[in-house]
Amino acid sequence: MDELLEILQDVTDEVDFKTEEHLIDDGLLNSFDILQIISALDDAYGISIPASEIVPANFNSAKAMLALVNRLQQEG
Amino acid sequence: MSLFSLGYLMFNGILLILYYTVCRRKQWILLLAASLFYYTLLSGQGMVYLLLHALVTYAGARRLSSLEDACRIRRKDPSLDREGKKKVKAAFTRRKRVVLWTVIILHLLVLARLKYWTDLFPSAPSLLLPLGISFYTFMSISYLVDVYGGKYPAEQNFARLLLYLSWFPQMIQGPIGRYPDMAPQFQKTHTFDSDRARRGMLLILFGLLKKYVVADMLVNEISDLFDGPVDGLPGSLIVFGILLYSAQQYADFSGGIDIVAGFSSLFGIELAPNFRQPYFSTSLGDFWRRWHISLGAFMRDYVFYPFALLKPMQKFGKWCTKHLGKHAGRVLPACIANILVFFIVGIWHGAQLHYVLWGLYNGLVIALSDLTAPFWTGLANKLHMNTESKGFHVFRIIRTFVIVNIGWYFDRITDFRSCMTCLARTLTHFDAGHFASALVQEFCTGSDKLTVFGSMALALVGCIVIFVVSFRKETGHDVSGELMAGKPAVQGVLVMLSLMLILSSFLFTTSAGGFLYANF
Repeated sequence: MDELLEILQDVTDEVDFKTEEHLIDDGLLNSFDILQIISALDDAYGISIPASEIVPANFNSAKAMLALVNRLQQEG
Repeated sequence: MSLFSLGYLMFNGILLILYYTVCRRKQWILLLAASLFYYTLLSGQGMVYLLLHALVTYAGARRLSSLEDACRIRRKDPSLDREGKKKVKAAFTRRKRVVLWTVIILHLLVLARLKYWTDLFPSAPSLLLPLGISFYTFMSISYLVDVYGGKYPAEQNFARLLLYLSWFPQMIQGPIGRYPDMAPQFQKTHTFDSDRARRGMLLILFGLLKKYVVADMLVNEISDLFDGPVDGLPGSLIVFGILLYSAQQYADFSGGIDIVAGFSSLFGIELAPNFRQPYFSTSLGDFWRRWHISLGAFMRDYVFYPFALLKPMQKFGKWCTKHLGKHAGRVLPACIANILVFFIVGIWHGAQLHYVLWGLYNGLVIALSDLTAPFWTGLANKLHMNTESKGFHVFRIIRTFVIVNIGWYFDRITDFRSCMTCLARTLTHFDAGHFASALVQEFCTGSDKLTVFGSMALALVGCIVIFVVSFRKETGHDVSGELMAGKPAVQGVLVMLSLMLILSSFLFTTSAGGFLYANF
């Protein structure tokens, strides 16, 4: 989780990823942030997040993003 | 049977009685039969396209689902290691991609042939454009892409999919409903809810007011201005005409959506929201999140993100970060994806140059605004401007309104040379002193003054009503809810006044126009 938080804070330091649970629903992340986060996660974890995974449930919190990364890593 | 005919009202009335009484156990079958009947009545041979289209979508999605299932089973094979599972997934993804693209390309080719062929090749034999084809094509694409992405399994029942694609209230001009939002509503058994029905009827009334009292009252004046020679028009009158178009366009499209959403809600089927007080937007990007919301959301999910996430685009973003700085790396790929989106939105409206320019104008303004955002923030800080103040908020709304209206020049003035002339004359020959005489000359040739100014006065009253309702909504009020909770006498007076306004419009109506977006 710490590694993920570091990646996310690197994309934007205007959001507290540790505590926020509604990043998308509350409009804290915009499309630029989403694209940057996906690109960073793809690089860091060797995955490829498709556009179909861009749903609020996957990006509303750091925890949800970690779950997405783990799932995509498992699926190969 | 147009949306504002007695026939449409009776059609819905009879349906509602059957829906909540004898057909309660099979409501969705009644809705499907009604939708197909309505579509046949409206579009005739268009029904053939709709049925074939639905069949291809149905078969394509079923194939995608079966490939997904087969992939899952194969990957469970215990003899496969991680690498083997990866290979199986890659092989099935390739096969799924072929199916997806075959169906999407087929749908787009049919759409292109019917919609653009005559524009591109005027001598080619023209085919009748089936009503609502753009809308059901987009709905099919969203459904197919979602099934491809494994968001939900393909619908097993063809009739249920057909109902999703043909639901009669949203068939004509949208909104572009999503399958997971619509399908559960069709599967549910609905009981009559008087509160929901009252809300629905208020929405229909408001939609009728927008359409009759504003849109239809202005259509002739706008046409008088922009569909003829524009060389001698003073810029002030051109600006006035564009402002009229701004009101007409919103009243027509959002009014139509209110009417269909109202009728749909009478059956307990809530349509996707399509407008959220767009003229209160604080930026052009914000405007497009409030205007034709379902199209914007479709473009975001099925064009913007897939394009921006392509490997070359991601590489481009990294290159920009390295060579042009963090901000450029962050926004440039999205800007390019945005320009592509608006180019497609422009083309979707029509193959004519003015639509393409209108799309590109929107894409470029948003891109420029994103790219230069740090400069404006820095400038505001240097000038010690309070960007959070109410005054600055109002300034942003007015600035956005002006930017949107410049875009309407490209949208409404169909001849490219005339459009450029109008833009130039707005800047160089504003000529406010001749506004009144030019207005009388342009609008009153061939029509009597009473009709022209009567219709415009009525439209002004309609605009004030729309503004008040929109302002209250924008400030967080549930206008329908408040009205329903209010005194019956107040409700009665407001409803009667609305009806009187609508009836008054008949005095000045010279033609019962269709809906602008029914042509797409």
